Amino acid sequence: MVSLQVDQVTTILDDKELIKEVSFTLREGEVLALVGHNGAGKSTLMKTIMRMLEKRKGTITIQQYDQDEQFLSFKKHLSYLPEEPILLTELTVMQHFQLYAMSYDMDEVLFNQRLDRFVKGFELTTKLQAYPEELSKGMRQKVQTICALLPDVPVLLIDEPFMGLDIYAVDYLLKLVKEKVEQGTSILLTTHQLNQLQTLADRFLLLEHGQVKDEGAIEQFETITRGRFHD
Amino acid sequence: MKRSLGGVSMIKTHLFLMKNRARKKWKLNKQVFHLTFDFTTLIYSLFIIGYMFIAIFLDGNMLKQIDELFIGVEAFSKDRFWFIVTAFPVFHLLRAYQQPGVLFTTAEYLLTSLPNPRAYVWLAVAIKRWIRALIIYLIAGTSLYLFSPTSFPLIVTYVCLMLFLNVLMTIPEWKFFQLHIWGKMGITLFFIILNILSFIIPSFWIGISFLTLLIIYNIRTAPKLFKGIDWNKVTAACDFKLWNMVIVSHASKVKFKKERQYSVWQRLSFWKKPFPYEKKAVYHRLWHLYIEKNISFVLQIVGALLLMLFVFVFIKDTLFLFAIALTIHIYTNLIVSMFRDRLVTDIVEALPWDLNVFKQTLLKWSVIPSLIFIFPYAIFAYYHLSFWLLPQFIIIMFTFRFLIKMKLEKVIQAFDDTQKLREWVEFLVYGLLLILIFSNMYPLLLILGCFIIGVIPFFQGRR
Repeated sequence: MVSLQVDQVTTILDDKELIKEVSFTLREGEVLALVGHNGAGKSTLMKTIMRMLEKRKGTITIQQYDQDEQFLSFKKHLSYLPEEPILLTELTVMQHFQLYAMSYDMDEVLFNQRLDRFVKGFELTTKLQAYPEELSKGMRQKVQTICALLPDVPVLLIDEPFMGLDIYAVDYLLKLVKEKVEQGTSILLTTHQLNQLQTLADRFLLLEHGQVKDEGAIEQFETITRGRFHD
Repeated sequence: MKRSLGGVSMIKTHLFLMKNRARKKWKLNKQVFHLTFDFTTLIYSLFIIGYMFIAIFLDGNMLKQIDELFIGVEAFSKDRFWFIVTAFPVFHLLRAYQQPGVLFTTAEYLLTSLPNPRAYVWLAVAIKRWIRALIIYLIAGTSLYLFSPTSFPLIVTYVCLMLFLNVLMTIPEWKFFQLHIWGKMGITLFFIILNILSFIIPSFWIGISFLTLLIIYNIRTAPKLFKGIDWNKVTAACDFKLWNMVIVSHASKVKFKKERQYSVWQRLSFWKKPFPYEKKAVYHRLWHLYIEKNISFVLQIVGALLLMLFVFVFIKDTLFLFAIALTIHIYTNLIVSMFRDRLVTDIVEALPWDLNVFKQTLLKWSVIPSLIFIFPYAIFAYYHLSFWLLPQFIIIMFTFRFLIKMKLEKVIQAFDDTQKLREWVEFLVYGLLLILIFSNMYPLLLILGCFIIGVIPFFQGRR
């Protein structure tokens, strides 16, 4: 079953085409790695899927929910882990978790169980009453990671998930992501850490200057990169 | 000698700074101009502006048509001179909610770290403010002299008055900006009451006392000008004012953001407690945070509307009722724009929205500031005691309620196509506004209004 369908999406900002006619599908339980050089359009594509940036043309659908026609339902089927945490200065760590859980209509019992587990796994037990400004950058990233992983959604967008995390947190995150995939969540992720790609991703989508340059199984990506470095 | 040398060097440095700042702004504006206009568009724009000028001012005899208005304004300006003396500073105060009045940016602050006395830098910027104000008032005065029948002595009097008040309000604005929001609101309320008195009792003595107190305040506060100043707050606000060029921001699609300010609530222990597990609780907090960040803007709008109502309540009935209708319209638009903006601001943009709960929680917040508009209506009621006041008041309350709900539901409809409002509802609600405006001239309209209030809930059912 197709979880995410992106069809001929073009995003323009200041008369500049940031994304041009990008199309791809993401199946249930699949991990698609979005790769490319700096400024290729990876984060822009994610923000377009989130509708933080308006697309000029094309369609984006999650299961049967079209981004333009059923935006409210579309949003409920999608969770986003941004590259930089987008936490509010005025809410504590716990309040952020509650905000996410309630926004996704999570059952309170499930929320508490899952939160207990994640907070222990990411070693944030003593930080629940802290404000984001009192935390280190890595801890803020952990908080944002937990927020994004709390709800059960068909599609998860992850932008550079490993930035700022310590090795234990990276390990734990990998474990959680694999669990999500086993449960049927589809993941679109970007990372510059190519060693993680092989572990996580099933397929890759290579973007270059806003356009799809190549796509295929992740094993093929290793061949392409090897070829590039040895040209 | 040493000090005067330092003063000269400071002036040179400051002029150098101003010159480069102006050069940078000119460059930015030029870029925007080139982005917005090409040669063809420019020529067509000039033709249109020229045609409009000829049509309105020469062929249309617009000036003759507004001559009566200017004559009325001139008479008002002569009769209510001392009222204007107390009213004009209110605009300075409203401005001082967001800016300190003296453009002391990061650059000026850095100048004080060089061997430049801070007071000299401050004074240099203040003088620039006064010169700028003088130029603006002179241009306005000259335009009035050339294009209106307003008398020359009156124009000169008012140009001098505006400039005098601008100078006298420099220090109060600087200090007012530092106050906590409650202090600001208290002083603003005091000024509004003073102006009401000044309007009701056209009094030379109130105006003179006010000016005297203002002068005394300036003399006493000048030596303590920099006491208790939060320089981060000053430079942040001034940097934002200087570089948040609206047209540049719009053309380049880049927003210039103010530095984050920390809320006083965050230090309170109850503020940190986890929410009860219900959306209303967390959405209330989100609205609290949003309104707090935008409180200056909200208070400026509410303050301006309140001032308008307090002035019009003493002029003419229909004008006051028109002002009430306008207040309802503008205030509800403000609430709707906050609703739209909230959805695309910070973390909320990345989350699913329960728009109905967002709407319900915002409606509760919108009631609080709206209560202040009851005060001018109370004055109106005092002077127009009659049986019709009760239905009129009911219509005001319900019109506000219906209009705000309708406008918010229209926003929700843009996201959720399954819910559509009936077109009749909009027609009826705006009909209520019209009824309100003419209700004093034709009180029987109020009966129709009450009937409409009764039927609207039936039409508000969704398709």
